[in-house]
Amino acid sequence: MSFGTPTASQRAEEYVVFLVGELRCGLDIRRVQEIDRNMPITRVFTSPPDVRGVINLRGEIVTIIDLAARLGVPRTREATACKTVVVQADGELIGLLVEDVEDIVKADDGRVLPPPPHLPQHVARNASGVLATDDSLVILIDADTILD
Amino acid sequence: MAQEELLDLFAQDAVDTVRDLEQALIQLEEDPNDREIVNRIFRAAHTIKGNAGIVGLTTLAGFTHAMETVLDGVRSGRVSVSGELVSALLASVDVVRLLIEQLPGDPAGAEVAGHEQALSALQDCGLPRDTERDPPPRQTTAPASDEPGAVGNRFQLELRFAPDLLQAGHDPMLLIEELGQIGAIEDIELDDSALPGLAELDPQRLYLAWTLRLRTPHSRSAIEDLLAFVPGGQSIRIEPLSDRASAPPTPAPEPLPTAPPAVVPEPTAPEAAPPPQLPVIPPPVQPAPSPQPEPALPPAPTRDHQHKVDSVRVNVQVLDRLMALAGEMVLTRNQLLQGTQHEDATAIERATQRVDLLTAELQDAVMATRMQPIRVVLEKFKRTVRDLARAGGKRVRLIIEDEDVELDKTVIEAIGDPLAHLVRNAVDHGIELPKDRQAAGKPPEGLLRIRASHRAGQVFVEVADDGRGIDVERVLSKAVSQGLVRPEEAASLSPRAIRDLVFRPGFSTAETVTQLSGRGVGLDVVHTDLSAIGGTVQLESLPGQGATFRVKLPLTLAILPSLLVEVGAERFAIPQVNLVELIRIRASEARQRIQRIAGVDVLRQRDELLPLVRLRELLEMDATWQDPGSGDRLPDARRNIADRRGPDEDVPAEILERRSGRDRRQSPLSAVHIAVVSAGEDAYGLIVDDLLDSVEIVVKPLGRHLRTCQAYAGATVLGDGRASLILDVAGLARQAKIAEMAEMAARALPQVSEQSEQEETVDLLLLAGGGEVFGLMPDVVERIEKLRPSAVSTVGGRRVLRIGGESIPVFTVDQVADTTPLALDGPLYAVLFRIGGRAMGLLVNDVLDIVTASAAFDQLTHRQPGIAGSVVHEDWVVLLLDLKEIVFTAVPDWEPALSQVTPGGARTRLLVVEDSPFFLNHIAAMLEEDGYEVAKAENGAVGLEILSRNPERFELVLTDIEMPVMDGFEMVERIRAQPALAHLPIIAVTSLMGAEARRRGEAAGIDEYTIKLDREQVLERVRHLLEHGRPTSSRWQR
Repeated sequence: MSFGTPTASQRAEEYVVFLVGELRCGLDIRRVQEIDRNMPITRVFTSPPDVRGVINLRGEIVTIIDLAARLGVPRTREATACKTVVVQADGELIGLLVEDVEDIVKADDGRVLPPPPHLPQHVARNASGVLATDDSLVILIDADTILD
Repeated sequence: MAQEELLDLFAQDAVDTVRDLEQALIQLEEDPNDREIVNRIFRAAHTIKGNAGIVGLTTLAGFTHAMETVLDGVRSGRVSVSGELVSALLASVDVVRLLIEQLPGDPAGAEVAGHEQALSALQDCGLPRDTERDPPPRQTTAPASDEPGAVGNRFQLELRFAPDLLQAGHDPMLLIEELGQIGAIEDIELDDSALPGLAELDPQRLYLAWTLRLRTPHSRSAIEDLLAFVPGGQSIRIEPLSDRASAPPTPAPEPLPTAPPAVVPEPTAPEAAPPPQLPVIPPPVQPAPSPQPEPALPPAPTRDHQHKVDSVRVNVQVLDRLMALAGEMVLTRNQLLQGTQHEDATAIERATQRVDLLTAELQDAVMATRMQPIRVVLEKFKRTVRDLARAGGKRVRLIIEDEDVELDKTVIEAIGDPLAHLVRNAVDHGIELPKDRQAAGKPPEGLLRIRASHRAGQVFVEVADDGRGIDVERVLSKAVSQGLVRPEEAASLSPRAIRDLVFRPGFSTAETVTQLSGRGVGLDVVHTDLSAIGGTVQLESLPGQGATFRVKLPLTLAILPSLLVEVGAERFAIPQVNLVELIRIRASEARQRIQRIAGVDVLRQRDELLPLVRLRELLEMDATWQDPGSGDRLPDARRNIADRRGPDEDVPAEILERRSGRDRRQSPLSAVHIAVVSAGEDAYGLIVDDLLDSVEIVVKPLGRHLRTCQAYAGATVLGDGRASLILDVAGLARQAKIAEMAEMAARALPQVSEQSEQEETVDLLLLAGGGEVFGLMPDVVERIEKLRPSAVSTVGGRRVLRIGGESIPVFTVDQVADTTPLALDGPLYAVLFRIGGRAMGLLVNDVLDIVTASAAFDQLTHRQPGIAGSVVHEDWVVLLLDLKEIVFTAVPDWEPALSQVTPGGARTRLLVVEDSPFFLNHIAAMLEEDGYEVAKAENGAVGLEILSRNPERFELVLTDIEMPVMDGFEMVERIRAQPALAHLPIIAVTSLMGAEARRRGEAAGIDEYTIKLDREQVLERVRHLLEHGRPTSSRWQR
């Protein structure tokens, strides 16, 4: 399976906005294949700590990454109530475990700012910027660093 | 047809042709005088040239033309076959391959690496300079003949070729050019009278004929030789012409001229002057045939140069079978639909069985389309061996035996590199230089044998050389100097362990890094590559006599027969190819058979110590647990395997149920489950909570975040839709440091076996009743229940126990033996057991322990009804109970009815017939565990022979259906045909479930039918049949 992975130079126009812990994050919509919920996760023992396990997504084995663990923020919701954002990365599908998916926002709806310097280390490492809209701030997650 | 499609077709075809070309070239070197080989080579090169021209690949066509010119020289004898020539041609083959590989991305064909080099090597071997780019030029090599009027014979040739000449890869123009090379063509006439109208014209057909006059210094036979391999030779006429014959005969529009060729004596005149030949002295560029790298070796000859077109050739028979099955499937679907509509349960059941069978057949058929001969891989090594031997100044004879072995496409693709590595290793490191071999008293020519064979669902490939072998001392000192082994460890390593060092990363014994084999890459790559596909490699070697690498491969990768095991709530798959055996050790025996030596858990298994690891510990499943609420990982408070605390909501009901019972470790019925696995190196035992079913799984790769987990080979989706992990037996072994464990265990073995040989021991369940201590073999005990006194009542003078709506007769020892009476008002336990399949109980006051006691019983002192003897254990005199005797003494009437099954006494003998050693041992062990004596046979013929030799000794047969030599149906038919055996109950233990198979089985005389590995069912049916004998009419039981 191969997916056209947009390069970083192409500016994203729309973002899927979701909650990780209490953090509002956005991901380039072109990288998102689907959003699932209630997928039974099989644990992979001895895996890196932020790998939550694997799921069977219509016959394909998809690794589930715990975004809260990755970003170093506390989880606010039970895992079973979480949703999975399935993204495409180098021909592979990867699931990101998030608390909830909120909205889709356009880049035009606000202004993209550089990430502020005071962000926690794990968040800063994966943030490509902040989208400031009238009523909220969305941390734009860099799909490539977050999946590495 | 689109250009791309055309290129695809061309590439697929050309890959095969290039392979033929390469094989033929290697043959040619062995047998330079075989004209047929020369012709084959020429034809192959010519086909590529012609096809390349058709699809517009000018570079390729030009290059093959240059090859063809040299080959033409070979064919006409102007260029003689030498090692250099073959090398140059082989290098050209590599260039051709690279050019084909570039397709279809670069159809115009750019230059590829080695192109120029290969061309110049060809030129050095007799290709005239500056011919490579031009269209085929008129050769000027035949001296004198070009001048008109030169001395010579004149012939008239009528060339009327077969119409399919072009399809066979020939080109009439080329033939005419060749004729021009052996003489001068004075005149050509073209006969195009057979040309049809444009509408009917088939461009693949040849409609033209030629008549030409040739003056040549050669004889008629030279012309005949030239045309020898052209099909349709009978319509080619060669007629000598007299010098004075001026006017040529008129071109004949009819197929053949009417006048038969005149009988003309063979020309005699210029025969004395042999056809001048071009000098064929090898180019002086390379004066020494010494072990010097050849100039024209391809840049990377090891990778498969296959064009990336991913397609499979399918045998038409297989395709037909698929079609037939698909048709059947449609039919069955209709039956199913109809059955559903009419709510006809019988019809649905029939159709479901049919679907079951058809699915299995369909799977077989689809798998068959993926099977490819291993020959394709092995034949490539002819070239590898040839090139390497030349480069190394060695002489090597290669013998390939493939036994028509076929493997799945994925496996075929995966084994090329590791096998090539072994072959290179053998030539490079194994086989010595001719002078060294002679000095060692061996023939100068080394022997390399590659043998592929089939055995029990697996393929074995052996790469064996008769070279210097693996010098254990040298390997060890190298390993020490490379830091792979600590010097203090070195002394204690076994020869086997030392030989396995060659598969460690970073190990190499080559003194110098050689051109083709060294490259700083060791045999560890072979090991890793093979493990990745579920294969294994082992090395056997005798110093001075050679080395044999034994590679074991699965037949297929796409679908992997596996065993499911359970640890906690997780299920894991272990590939069947890695399974050696399954062992169930009763808790009572565990203490004796599983020991801890030098910090390592080992299982005493036949005179060996098997290292044991707990999968739970290896995967660190206990170290943390993940809170399903918060997702956090917390330290686990569990102390041991049986301890199952944890958040209940996450635990399946059956586990909760199990957890509510007594500690399973102390129950005589719980067991330690061990899957003995091996990935080529040392076998080891994986302790799991339970051994589940055998399933066929589809392997799926794990994502990149999980590549670092060496415990897993991939994942799969189970029947319930959940993802499940496949264990990587080799990776787990590395993680657990099995090799070191095995070493330690091996060193500890002598002292352990000494201990165990001192005295024969048995396990005894110790019970207390009325102040006496009784002993029982734990394996006859089914269950132990703690009772309230009210549970026991006396009905009709007999004591019975009510458990779960059932009423079970219970006994006390003092009923039949002169022992202290049981305290019936004290605490009571019922030890439940079966006689003749009937549940019964023995009442005692306490269950003391399970101990290992001496097997040296005193059978005299305390012998009385119900007491078989006594043994002293610690301070107790333990009275050994004979349960059967207790029951039959208490109720003599029961004896005739229940005495068929006699656990503990003379044991019932069963025969198990099964071709898979894995299942054979498993079923046998299962039955033995249940108290039967079991004989084993690997097919129907062996089974029948065992039965015929001892018709009296067996009481029941369990058999597989599908077996080699003689299948289950035939064996059963023959058993039923022998009066001495006809009464035997026969159970089919199989996975074959179709209605048709059932009908056949019933007709053959099979009494019962059970599914493999369903332990309870198998045991229950065995008990039932032993009790009741053969049913009068066969009853089929799922």
